[in-house]
Amino acid sequence: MKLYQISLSSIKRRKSRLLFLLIGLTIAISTVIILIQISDAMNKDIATKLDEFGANILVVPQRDELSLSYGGISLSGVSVETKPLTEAQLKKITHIKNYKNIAAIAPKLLETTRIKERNVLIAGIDFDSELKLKKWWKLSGKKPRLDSELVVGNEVAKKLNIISGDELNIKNMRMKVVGVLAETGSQDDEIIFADLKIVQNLFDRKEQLSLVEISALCYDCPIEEIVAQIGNQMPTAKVMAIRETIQSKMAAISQFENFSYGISLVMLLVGGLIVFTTFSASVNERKKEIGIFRSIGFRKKNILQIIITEAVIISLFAGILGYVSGLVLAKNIAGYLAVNSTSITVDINMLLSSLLLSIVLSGAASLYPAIKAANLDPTEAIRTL
Amino acid sequence: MALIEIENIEKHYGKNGTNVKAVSGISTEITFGEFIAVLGHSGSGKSTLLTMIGGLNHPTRGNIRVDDLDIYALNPEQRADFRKEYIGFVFQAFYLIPYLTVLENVLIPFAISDLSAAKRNSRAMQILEKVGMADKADRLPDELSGGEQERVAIARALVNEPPIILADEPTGNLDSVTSAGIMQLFADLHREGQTIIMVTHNQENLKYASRTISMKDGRIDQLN
Ligand SMILES: Nc1ncnc2c1ncn2[C@@H]1O[C@H](COP(=O)(O)OP(=O)(O)OP(=O)(O)O)[C@@H](O)[C@H]1O
Ligand SMILES: [Mg+2]
Repeated sequence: MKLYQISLSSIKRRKSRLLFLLIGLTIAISTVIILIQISDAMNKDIATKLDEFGANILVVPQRDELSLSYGGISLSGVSVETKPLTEAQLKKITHIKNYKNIAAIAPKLLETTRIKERNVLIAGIDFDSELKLKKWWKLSGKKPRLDSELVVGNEVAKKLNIISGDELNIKNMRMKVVGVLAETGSQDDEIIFADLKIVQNLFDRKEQLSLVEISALCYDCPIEEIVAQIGNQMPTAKVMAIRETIQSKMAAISQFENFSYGISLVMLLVGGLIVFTTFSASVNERKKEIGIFRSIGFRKKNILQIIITEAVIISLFAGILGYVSGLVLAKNIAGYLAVNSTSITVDINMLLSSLLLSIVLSGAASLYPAIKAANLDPTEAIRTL
Repeated sequence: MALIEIENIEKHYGKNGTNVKAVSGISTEITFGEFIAVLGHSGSGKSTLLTMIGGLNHPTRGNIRVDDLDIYALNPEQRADFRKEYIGFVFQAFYLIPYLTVLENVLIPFAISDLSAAKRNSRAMQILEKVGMADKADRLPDELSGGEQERVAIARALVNEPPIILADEPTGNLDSVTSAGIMQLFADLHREGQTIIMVTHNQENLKYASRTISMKDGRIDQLN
């Protein structure tokens, strides 16, 4: 017989009384696990869905004049770019603090050219980056591989009667249309896409860019911060955040996270309160018992040990039960919320954290009742009835 | 030399005016191997005297020396150690721990000693054998009769061989046949040299004791 065995026997033979405590603690831990797992899954989910939202940062050259276009109607054909954007400037983005949060960078050079007697916008792009950013692009045909290959937007193809395989003459260079973009409902429908380097060469604008689209994702820093960081690296450019769905979605997640922390705190308080009241009640109930232990020569610290050990053993069970049930429930709830739940898996660190949380919680909550028990006057407890 | 020296002890209960003098001036010496019966009416201070000897109840005045140790000069934790070393308590209400088996109840005193597990168990079984409870070692207290519970409580008090057994009306809740069995057990212990101080209401029990202390209103009435 050791002290811990007294605690074990107490748990084993007073199951029904301790069940309430176990359930209370388990629910508290489980709720915390559910909330952490769901908001984590939501964050990871949005990271994988990021590409579907496209760019959220736009970099354009500084202009001196006020904009002369509104709602897509431009009143002035030319606007003077005082300080053109260059590829050298763009490279500086790699120096920003949150570079790891940048998912894709898509530089563009826009020019107008005449094809079949009509003015058409031609964009020099990096096809790989562009496709990474615009997951919704559907090409009938193939992705250009040669410098002399083109992709045309849906409207361009319709209006100019262009199909895959056609050859176009652009600035005296023969180029081949290898793909037609399915309708996107955006300006992309009205543009011809060619390789960035080719367009720069043909229009004699080496190294220059008209705009850069960037997609960045950061759960714990506002997009404005990344915008500011890029702005610092590219002082002569104008860097803007595009308020997109992703922004509001991230805000919603951050709100959900705050809500989760709030609820978790409440649940832990409730759990602690349950431990506290259960053990306080059991101290009164066990007055005699404590008197017996004291009369046998147990020190105060031995009584303390028995009660805390009991609390810790129960909290171990609650920690494991809470983790497992939390995980299972989180998986189901994630499915219900249509959040990708593949990131919700058994994680040893998470399990250990939930054990630790449970132990600390119930250890702390049982400390006061245990001290009270240890300080009971043994004579009072033992008084023959 | 006396094992227990009681020197003019008093115990007053209660604060703010409602002062009850439970024990008001008792002095006596108890030597090794005595079997003392403490007799007296209800409220005469018997239990108070017993718990004071056992180091559980601080006297208001006077002091108690056990084995030349002034037990109320010790701090509370040292006094706990004193109880562990010197005292085995047996109470009227049996006071077994309800969630521990008979064997586990008897093993409680060993939870705070460092005897090997094998020695602990053999010692506990030996003592259960002695009180006739070895065959019920795995039962829980509420599966036992009153007499059986009392035997287990005695076994627990004896298991770590304390020099002094303090028993507060150990037969108070038992019928006469069962009582006689328990008293016989105490008589046997006494014959083996165990020092016993027992509070009792029952004149019948006096014949087992080597000396009777009669109490009245917190004082010793007469010495036999
Ligand atoms: N903790 C206490 N607080 C206040 N008064 C007490 C306390 N313990 C005992 N008393 C009082 O002290 C007196 C002596 O009590 P004690 O229990 O020692 O008597 P007793 O001889 O053991 O009686 P009984 O035969 O009924 O057990 C009684 O008047 C009792 O009410
Ligand atoms: Mg009494």
